[in-house]
Amino acid sequence: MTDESQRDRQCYLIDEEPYYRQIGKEVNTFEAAFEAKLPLMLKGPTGCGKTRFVEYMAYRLQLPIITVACHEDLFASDLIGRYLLKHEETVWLDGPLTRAVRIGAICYLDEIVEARKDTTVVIHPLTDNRRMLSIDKKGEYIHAHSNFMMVISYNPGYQSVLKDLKQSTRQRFVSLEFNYPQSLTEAEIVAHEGAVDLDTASRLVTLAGKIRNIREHGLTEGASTRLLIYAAQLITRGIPGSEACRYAVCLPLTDDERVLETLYDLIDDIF
Amino acid sequence: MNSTIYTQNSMETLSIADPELAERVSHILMQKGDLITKQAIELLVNETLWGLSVEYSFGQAIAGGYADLIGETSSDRLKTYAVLVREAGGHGPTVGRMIATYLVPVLKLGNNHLLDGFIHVSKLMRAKGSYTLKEPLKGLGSLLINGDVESAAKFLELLMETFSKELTYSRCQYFASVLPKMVLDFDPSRRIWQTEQMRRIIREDQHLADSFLNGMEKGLNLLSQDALENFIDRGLKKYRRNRRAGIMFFALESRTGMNTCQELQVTVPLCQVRRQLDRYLQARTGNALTVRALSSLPKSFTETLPHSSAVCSDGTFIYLPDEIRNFPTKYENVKLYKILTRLEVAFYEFGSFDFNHENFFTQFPNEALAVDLFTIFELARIRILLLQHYPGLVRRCYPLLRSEALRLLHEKSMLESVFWLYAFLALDLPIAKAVKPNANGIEMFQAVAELFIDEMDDKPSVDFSAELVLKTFPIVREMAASLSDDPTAATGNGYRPLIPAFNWRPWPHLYFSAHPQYDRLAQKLMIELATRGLSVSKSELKKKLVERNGFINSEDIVDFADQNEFGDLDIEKILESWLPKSQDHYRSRAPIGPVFWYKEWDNKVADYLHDYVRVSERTLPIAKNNFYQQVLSRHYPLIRRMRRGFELLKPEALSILRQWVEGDEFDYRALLDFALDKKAGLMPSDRIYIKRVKNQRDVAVLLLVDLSHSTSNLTLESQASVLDVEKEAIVIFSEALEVVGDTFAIAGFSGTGRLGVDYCWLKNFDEITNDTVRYRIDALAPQRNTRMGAAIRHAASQLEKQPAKVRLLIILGDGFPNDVDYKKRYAIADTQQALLEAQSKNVYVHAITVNIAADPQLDELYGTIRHSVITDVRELPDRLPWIYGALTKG
Repeated sequence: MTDESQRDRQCYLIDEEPYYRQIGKEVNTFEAAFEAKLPLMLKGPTGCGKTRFVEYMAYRLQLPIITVACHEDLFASDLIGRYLLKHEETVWLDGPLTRAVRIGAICYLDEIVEARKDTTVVIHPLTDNRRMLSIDKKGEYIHAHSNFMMVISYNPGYQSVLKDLKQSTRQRFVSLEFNYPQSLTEAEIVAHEGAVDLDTASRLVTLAGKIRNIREHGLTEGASTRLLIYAAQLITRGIPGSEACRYAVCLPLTDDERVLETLYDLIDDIF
Repeated sequence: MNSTIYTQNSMETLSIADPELAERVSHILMQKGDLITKQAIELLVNETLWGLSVEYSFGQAIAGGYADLIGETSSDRLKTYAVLVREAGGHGPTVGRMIATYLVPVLKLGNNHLLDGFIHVSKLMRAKGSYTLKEPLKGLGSLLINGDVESAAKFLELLMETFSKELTYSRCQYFASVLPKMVLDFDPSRRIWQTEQMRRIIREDQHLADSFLNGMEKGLNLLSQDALENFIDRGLKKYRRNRRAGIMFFALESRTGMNTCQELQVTVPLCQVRRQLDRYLQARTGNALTVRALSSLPKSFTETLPHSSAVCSDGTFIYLPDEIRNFPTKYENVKLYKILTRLEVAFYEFGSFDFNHENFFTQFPNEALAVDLFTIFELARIRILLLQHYPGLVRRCYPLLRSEALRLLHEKSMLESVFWLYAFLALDLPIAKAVKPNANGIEMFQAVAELFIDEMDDKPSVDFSAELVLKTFPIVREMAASLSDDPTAATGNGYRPLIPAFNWRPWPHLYFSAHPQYDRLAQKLMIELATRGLSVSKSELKKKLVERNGFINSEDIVDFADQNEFGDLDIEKILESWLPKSQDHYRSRAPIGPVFWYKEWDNKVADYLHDYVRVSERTLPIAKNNFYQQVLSRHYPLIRRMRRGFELLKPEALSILRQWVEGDEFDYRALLDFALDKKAGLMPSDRIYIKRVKNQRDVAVLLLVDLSHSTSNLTLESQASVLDVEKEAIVIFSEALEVVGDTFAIAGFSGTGRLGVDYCWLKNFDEITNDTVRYRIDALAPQRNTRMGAAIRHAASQLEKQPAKVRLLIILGDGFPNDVDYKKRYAIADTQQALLEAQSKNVYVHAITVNIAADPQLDELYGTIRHSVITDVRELPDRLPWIYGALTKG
């Protein structure tokens, strides 16, 4: 590995251990997939800890991690790289995917279904036994570093059928399913991340549980763990519990006044 | 001569004329014993004979009237009866018969004022025509028989006011039928002053009565006495200034009328908060628990509950008062509904019904005291658990419970002795307020309270309450005796059962006897499992059966079973053979097109019935009747205007296609790549443009048209049906949409029963508006019923597949959903649920209801901002494109 690669690698390493509370056997599965050089797909509702899990695994395996938030204007060249002008010269600049392939990093494509379909196709040769990336513009084929790992995530809950992943993409990945943790575990997570006491965290989790019970009453998603952590962080900074829940949990979830009234009633009960 | 003998003698004369009648009258008179006088009997016989000579039924009515009156009113009254009946008979036997019948309850009351009123009103109405008498007098009789004398007097005043006016024949007929029905339909507790307000209205102008009656149906009936009077005052002022505005105000058809009614309304009916409470229960428990009106509680249960009960439940429903008006503001009354619901659901959440009370209370010498003691400990346990889990709920609900308890304390001088223990333990009322100044009683009661606190662990179960009853019964029994003024209080005979605040307490008997079918099933299953060596508690089986509407699975059985090892036992197989097979009583026509199955929301159990409704897609036959073309030429100016308006509708977000081979401007990112590739000596790509495309506007719309039979109704002043006008609107709408380039589809729905919902495409998303589509629109005709929920679910699932950012479903209907086994609350609840599901799929729903007046229930059905009401359907062709324009305008 060149010095430049080494520097790149250092840039993308995570210095401090991210807090992650293991829920099931996801850590073992991830490690096994990494060892077997298999790409991984994480499915789960928004704010349940998918990204945090990948960061934690990157730290645990001491791998650099390069994250790309996918969107509909993301082109293949945005992932692979492009030529740029530098002092009257053209200089090739690696995209995040190419960089990850070279330095042996985890390339984490967040919300992959948001990306254009012609973009997602470029990852295909990297996600089967070939593990190689073709850079047409340079006429170069790169064999992925032995530590390279492709991880993608998406939320099946709110995607339309048209935004669903194509089978040819799906069937290249080992898949892990995430969901909101059990209430006690979720309370521990909220307490840790939001820096509140366990009792307050438990109340937030109770509220989330009740809100998730009425998911079919006009809510597109239930209250996520992330929103609970936001509420906890507001509480830590002196915002009263009931207000923090309104701002951080209820209002982001829905605009329907009738559903909001029920959510406010639940908050009034719990706080 | 005693009464029996002269009754028999006098009846001999009558029996010659009509032996059956004589026998019947004798039988009635015999039961009156010595209250009968000879003169009265003679009067009865003579007058009856006269009546029979006029007309047989008249004579019978006279005989019945005398038989009823004799012995129960004075001889003077009997004479008055004779005079009035004679006089009425002079106007014909029909009038005579009515007076002979309906005068009786008036005379029996002995109220001169009422009698004068009756005489005056009957004369007044008779003058208008004898046809006006029957229904009002019958209504008056019902009021008097039910003992509602004051309302009867008011009703007479109303009749007097009404029939004193100059009325046409048809108005007389109208009032004669409407007024008695209206007064009888009024809630008995509000009948007097509501009748009085109706009188005020009619005094002003008899034509206002119709508007007022409409208003009463829409919400005025819920106003308190002062509020209704206030409303009428305001309305009359308005009417005197502007007749039209006043009429709209009383009928609650004007915005001012609706707002005033809303502002003055204090009483809250359960139906207004039901949806909110159901959603809360669903959130709190995650189970199918919903609210219901106490009046719907089966009679067998109502008899066992005290009248003061404000809340109770049976495992499936929480029963709440039909309406609440305890407090002076609407807000407080809504709050009471919420509080009662929040408290009652705690019994479910904290397992109060997990305790099998069978044979438990009967072991105590004073069973009622043991039940009360259990109630107190259970309510105290619930309070402690609520404090742990829902401190906000305790802060908000318990002050009300405490003040209600204090009110009971002040109102009732002879309160049950355990009330003191209840106040302290269950409500945490400060001891000085809760306890009588009786030192001995306080000591004993403190001992019980200390025992409760000492023995309670972090998560006390219902068994803890039962164990405490066993431990403390002797002490409390002694305490009850020492605190009570009645020496027999401790033995049970003189014991007055506890009545807690709002009578909120667990009613295990209601819970356990509410579902006898599940009780029997649980018993059978328990025996079945026991024969195979598996011991499972019947109460646990029943609880699960109640929760799951009669279904249970092998995992539940494994959870309940005492043992961990099951050997070769195949529980799934046992359940399979044991569970009742679902029977489908519905048979329907074979589907023609593709079939889709959808769930349906059952509001009675607050849960889905999965794969319950069959929607079959049908192709509409085409008809070449040139309707489409006729509309185009008839509405040419309007269509031209629409097209121009829609041209101006700029899409909110145009699709920008980058790296296109041609376009409006350069894609600078691609252009840079082009320059760099060229400089690097590579073949540059020619995809260097940005293209903004209109044909991929981000809106997809589906117009869903209700084709129910009611759309065949004719519109006002026209020979066109509602559907004809809807078809015109569809034509204009299609033409306008073609201009803006949005993806759109049109579908109609109808059907009969859950297996016969038809869904027909007039234009699918990928079709262009060609002749086939036009012929399909031509062929559109009214069909059968409206199973709205299934149609919305199918439409939403079709829309969901469209690659648009905004997916809009416009429902065009002419009323409320209605189908076989799909009526009223059930149909509305399912439709609401289907709308919520559509919302969850990011489908925006907007409903347009035509040909009916604005109705608050439509707001409830679709939400206030999600529907438009077009009372005059003829406005639809004009309004539909504009509604769409407003919905999608940037």
